[in-house]
Amino acid sequence: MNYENVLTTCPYCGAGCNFYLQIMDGELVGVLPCKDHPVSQGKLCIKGWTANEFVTSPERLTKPLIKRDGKFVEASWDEALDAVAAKFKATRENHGPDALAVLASAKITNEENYALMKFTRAVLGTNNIDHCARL
Amino acid sequence: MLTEIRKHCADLLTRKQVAAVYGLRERDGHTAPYLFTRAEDLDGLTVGTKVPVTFTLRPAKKNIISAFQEKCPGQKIAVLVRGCDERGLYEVAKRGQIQVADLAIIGYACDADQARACHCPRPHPQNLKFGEKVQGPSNEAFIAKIVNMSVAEREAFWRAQFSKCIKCYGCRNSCPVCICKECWMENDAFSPTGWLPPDFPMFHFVHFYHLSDSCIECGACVDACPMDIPLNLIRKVLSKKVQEELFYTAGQDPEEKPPLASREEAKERLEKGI
Ligand code: SF4
Ligand code: SF4
Repeated sequence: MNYENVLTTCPYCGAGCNFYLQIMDGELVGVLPCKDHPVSQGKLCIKGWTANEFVTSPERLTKPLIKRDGKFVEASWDEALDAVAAKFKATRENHGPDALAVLASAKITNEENYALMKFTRAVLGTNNIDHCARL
Repeated sequence: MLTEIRKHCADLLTRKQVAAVYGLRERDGHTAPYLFTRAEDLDGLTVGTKVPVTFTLRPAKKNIISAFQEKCPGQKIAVLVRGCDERGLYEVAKRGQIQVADLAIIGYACDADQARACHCPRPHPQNLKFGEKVQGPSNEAFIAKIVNMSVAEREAFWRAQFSKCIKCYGCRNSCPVCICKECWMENDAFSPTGWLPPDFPMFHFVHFYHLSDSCIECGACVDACPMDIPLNLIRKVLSKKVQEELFYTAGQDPEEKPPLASREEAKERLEKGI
């Protein structure tokens, strides 16, 4: 039997709390706060405490969904990305780049947010980028 | 102390007296529970931190040690414990989740400073093998603050404290003896989903009363509270009441029945005055 704790950063927001993921025989069985971590000091909010639950949740989306005739249907990543690119292009052509906006996320890393900012300004051609908290 | 403990555990593993040693491992400057199955890994074993080894797995709602025992029934596992870890383990054993006979409980004592910092009534396990026993501090002065308040003052004090609560459930999640399958703290009647702060006083009082005969005063709840609510204050007052009125101290003997689950025995204790 195997049981260990793997230190990680909470994926939910930008605060940077750390906790352990408890792994038993290769299976994720729980979250444990990290008492000696300088940011979270052994304390977590309700999202951090339950962060293990979404990993294996049956409600988790595992495939892209495209809305067709008012209903979400499963699609491949290629189809989904093509659909997004086509809509971006069409909106930009018909209404100009400022008709587009991007909402960044606290759940992703600094570097990913930077890439998103670059994509918005350099690829889409608009300054309309904001944080998801302002949704 | 650490060197002897490591050596002792290495002996147990190499002589195959136990299948695993459950304790704390330090890695990259952080300490977490770990199940040692190889003697050569024991270099990472550590003691003397405030990290508990007994706690409840969620969402499984079972004690970590009972999860081990379910995985390898009948196998001997050594568990390195402080006083509070052992008491937590005994309380869970009383409720049928842990088979104490299948454990090799190896205890070590906390020092006076640690005991003071934790307000710990018994900073040493019964299976004491390493370290010197020290007396736990008296908590009379600590609880005097609320004991001496009038009822109105006390209500105002707790109302103010609990108005800080962000309903993280950290106090419940970190508690080693909170193992109910259905938790009343999640019951909408006591604290509707989506409301902050949670309803006063039921959200917290459900927790307090539900654990009144099993709280082992480890302080894990207060340590987990991001809002610095002094949960241990009320815990100590309740435990004292249980000791005075029911002649019962949680975490002493895994064979003993919880007093709130056995009125007959409570009566016996009362008659005998023990
Ligand atoms: S002190 Fe808190 S965490 Fe420890 S047993 Fe009591 S209620 Fe549970
Ligand atoms: S740990 Fe503190 S903030 Fe979190 S639910 Fe308990 S009392 Fe409230």
